[in-house]
Amino acid sequence: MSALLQVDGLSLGFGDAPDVVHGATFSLEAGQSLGLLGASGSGKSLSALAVLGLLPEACQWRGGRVLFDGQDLALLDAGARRALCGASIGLVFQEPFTALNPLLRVGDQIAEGLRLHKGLDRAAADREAAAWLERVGLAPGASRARQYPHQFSGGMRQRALLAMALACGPRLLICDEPTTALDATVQAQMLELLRRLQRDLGFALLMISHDLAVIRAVAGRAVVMEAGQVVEAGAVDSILQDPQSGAARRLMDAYAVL
Amino acid sequence: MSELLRAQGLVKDFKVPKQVGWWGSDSVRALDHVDLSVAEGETLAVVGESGSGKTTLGRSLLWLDPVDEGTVTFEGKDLAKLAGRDLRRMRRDLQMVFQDPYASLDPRLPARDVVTETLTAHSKLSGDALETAARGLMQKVGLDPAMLDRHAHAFSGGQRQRLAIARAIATKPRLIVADEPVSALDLELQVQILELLKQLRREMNLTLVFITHDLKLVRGFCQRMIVMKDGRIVEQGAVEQVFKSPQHPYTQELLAAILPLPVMRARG
Repeated sequence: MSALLQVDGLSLGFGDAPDVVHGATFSLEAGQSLGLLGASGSGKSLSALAVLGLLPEACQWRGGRVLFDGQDLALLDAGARRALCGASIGLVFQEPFTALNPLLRVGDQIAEGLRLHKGLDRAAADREAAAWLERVGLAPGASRARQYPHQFSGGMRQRALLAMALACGPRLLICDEPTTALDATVQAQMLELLRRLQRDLGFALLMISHDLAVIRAVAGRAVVMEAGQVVEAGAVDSILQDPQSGAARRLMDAYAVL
Repeated sequence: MSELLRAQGLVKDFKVPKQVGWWGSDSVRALDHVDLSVAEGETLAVVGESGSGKTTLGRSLLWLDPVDEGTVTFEGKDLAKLAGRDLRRMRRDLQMVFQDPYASLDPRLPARDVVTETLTAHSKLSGDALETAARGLMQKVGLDPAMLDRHAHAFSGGQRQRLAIARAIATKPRLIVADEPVSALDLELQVQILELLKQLRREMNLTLVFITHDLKLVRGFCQRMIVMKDGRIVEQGAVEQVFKSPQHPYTQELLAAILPLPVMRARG
């Protein structure tokens, strides 16, 4: 059985500089969770952008393949890729304050994707958007949908982004440091929400973070990246108890100090 | 331990505009009759989430923003009654490390100007003596003095916080308020910066007020803690005691929100 997401020997770089991602390999089965652990600059976010086809223009694809549901993403044209990613892969970024358009009502931003990727008409999309806001704990959905992002707190904006990412029913959700900017209790609630939604909807989850505790809250397995390479892979608790790579060991040493 | 800083009955209100579409303003009480005592040599944690009033408290302790009611005394002197030269002199003893390394340093300033900012304001050092002081400060915070010429924007987040710490210790203060000094950093860097602060407080006999929303940083770094919610202190005590046996439901909620991570302690 082939994995839902297969990244094989991915190498990326800029200009004449050495690879910023080098030979990265990892895979994710349908409905499963995988953590991508690494410090800032480890290449974890770029790897995720490669999956989504959202690499900056200056970034060169120097090797390897990304297969989603058996399809080589590099062989799709821009339109096919957009259609695939919009409908099948959802993304939640780190920055709740910049990922939402401040000039549009929250409900409209969710409805936009529904009209584009699921072909719903305006009324149906608006209803569905309101329902999604309630699903992520932002009730009453209809009035929340009419509000603007600046009227939401940081935690509420992340919930709205989650709703936006899941509304089209993706089979894979990629979260990149989704809770880093949030207070501890808000972070815990957000991760609990993510776990519940994954149970109910069955999407595969790729959780990218520098914090192994965040990964552990949603995934049982993880790969560790450092300086663009995958340096360790395995069960999260194995990495915790018996880290093999320098990167994981340094992180465990840091936790032990606290 | 003698009392170094005492705050009594602090009240601070902020005006905020009403909801979109309405004229006028509402009032938000950021500090609601807060009493606090900081003993010399201790590291006190001020724990709270966004909107708890912890940053307002930190700034009020240093008399950076006026309060509407209440007093702050440092070494028995009422800060409200100090003016001019006395107030400036007091500022040498009370310093702050701010939250955002990307906002609290002027990115166009060379590192040299950043770390000597407080010395320039509070001392008569200049020329060679100032340069020597700058080099010493860089070394003290673990940065290469050769980087003094580099502009602040060329430093990473962790390095910028080291510059901010260098700036804060330059006048050999008695007390430093550190407002979320590591929140913007990865965990490994957080621990490195806290280790640096531990070393500096030992070497310089510093009293620290450590403001944070991240409880997991508190246990290894602070002896005493207060928990703030909606401008009030809801719990306080020795860190070990509060962690073992939290009394207030909000404290219990904060502790429960710490994500579990069963790491083996005392490794290597």
